[in-house]
Amino acid sequence: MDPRWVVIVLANTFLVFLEGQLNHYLAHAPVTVYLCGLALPVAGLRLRFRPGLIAMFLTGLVIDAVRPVPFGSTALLLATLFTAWHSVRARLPRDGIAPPIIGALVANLALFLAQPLLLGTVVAAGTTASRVLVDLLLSQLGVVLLGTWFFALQEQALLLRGVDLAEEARQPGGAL
Amino acid sequence: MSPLQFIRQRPFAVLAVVAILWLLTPVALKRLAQVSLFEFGAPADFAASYARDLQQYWSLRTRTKNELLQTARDLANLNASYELRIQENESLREQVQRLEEALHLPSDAEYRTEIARVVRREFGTWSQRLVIRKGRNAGIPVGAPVVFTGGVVGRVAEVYAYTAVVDLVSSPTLRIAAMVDGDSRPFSFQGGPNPPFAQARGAVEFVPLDIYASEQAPKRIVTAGLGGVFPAGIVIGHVQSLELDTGGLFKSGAVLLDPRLNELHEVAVLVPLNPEQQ
Repeated sequence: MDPRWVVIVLANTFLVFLEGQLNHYLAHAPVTVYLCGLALPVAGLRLRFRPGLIAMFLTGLVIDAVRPVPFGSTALLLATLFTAWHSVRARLPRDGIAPPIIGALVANLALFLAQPLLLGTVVAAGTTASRVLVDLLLSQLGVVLLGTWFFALQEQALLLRGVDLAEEARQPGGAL
Repeated sequence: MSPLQFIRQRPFAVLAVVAILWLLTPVALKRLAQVSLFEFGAPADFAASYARDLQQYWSLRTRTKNELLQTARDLANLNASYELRIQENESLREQVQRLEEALHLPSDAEYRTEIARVVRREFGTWSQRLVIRKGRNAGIPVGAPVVFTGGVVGRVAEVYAYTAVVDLVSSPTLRIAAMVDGDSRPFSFQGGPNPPFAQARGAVEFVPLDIYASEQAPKRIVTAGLGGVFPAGIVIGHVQSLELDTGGLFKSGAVLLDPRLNELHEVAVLVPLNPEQQ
């Protein structure tokens, strides 16, 4: 079994757990953060197509299992975002911390705005514009604050399994 | 072209194949995957919940003896008043039973109470839910009403082996037949919309024209007992304002829900004793 997608899926499962715990405490406010966009950048920037697609699809299923959206919808969304990113990544800057953070912000925005479409019109109408705006701003802030740490966590977890993504990306046919 | 070359050169075609395969996957298989993944993540939430309980235990251990004595005294007073109410309830229950027998009325649905700790609160932008620490192991069915000392919490939406997901009363996914406390005419209550940094809300519609409410004189609304889920008389919230509908036949307005709803630690699930009656 390819350790790349296994490690990425496990790290993303941990992200879903952390997000759940954060929202548990934020319920006092009540506001919420959506951090699923953080699941995409390492796979989008560094992984080859097949392990990346598997990792994103399974991550989406893990997210869908704990949310009231149709099961598999986030999986297909993440897989689509990954495929789009993978197909244009050769033309985009990939060095440094800015590309993954910007990628995570864009992915998070797309996934967040897709939620009302997935939940249906009745549920989508049951909120206020101010709530959507506050939650979106907090989510994007969360992505910026946690991004660097979470990407490092994923890369270190892969290094523990003997996979150096940075090195692989520089090899012929790699991401860089 | 080898499959590997195809994957490299046609990523969007591969994505389309994956999407079609997923759409063609049998629903039973999808449901199995969803339940398995939820159960896979449940122990982590359980561990976090038990860690919070332990944290609370140790924080309580830091209280002084005087504080504990004061609390014990308060609890003793509370217990005495509850004892009295239990006796009153018992005599009322017997009276209701006698009247039902005399008038040949069908008896109300009966429930047993299952107390459950809250594992995770989720006050999302579009939906509000709770995960509780009891599920199929405690005989909790889907659709069971969930209450707390302040009134309605919500309804059980999903049941797993050791956990259950509750749709909160503030969630737009929940509709309840309600009535003003002391009035018998039912109307519709729906959760949401919930603004940020504010108390949870709901909305009522089809309210009779002769009912008035304002911020200065709010009206308490309770469950109407229709629809077979919630027993009658459980507090939902307070109507803060009522305005004429566009049709002019009814009123609609905003409801302020209990402020403790988003900081619940423990809830009571009402499990029907005779599900056939529901």
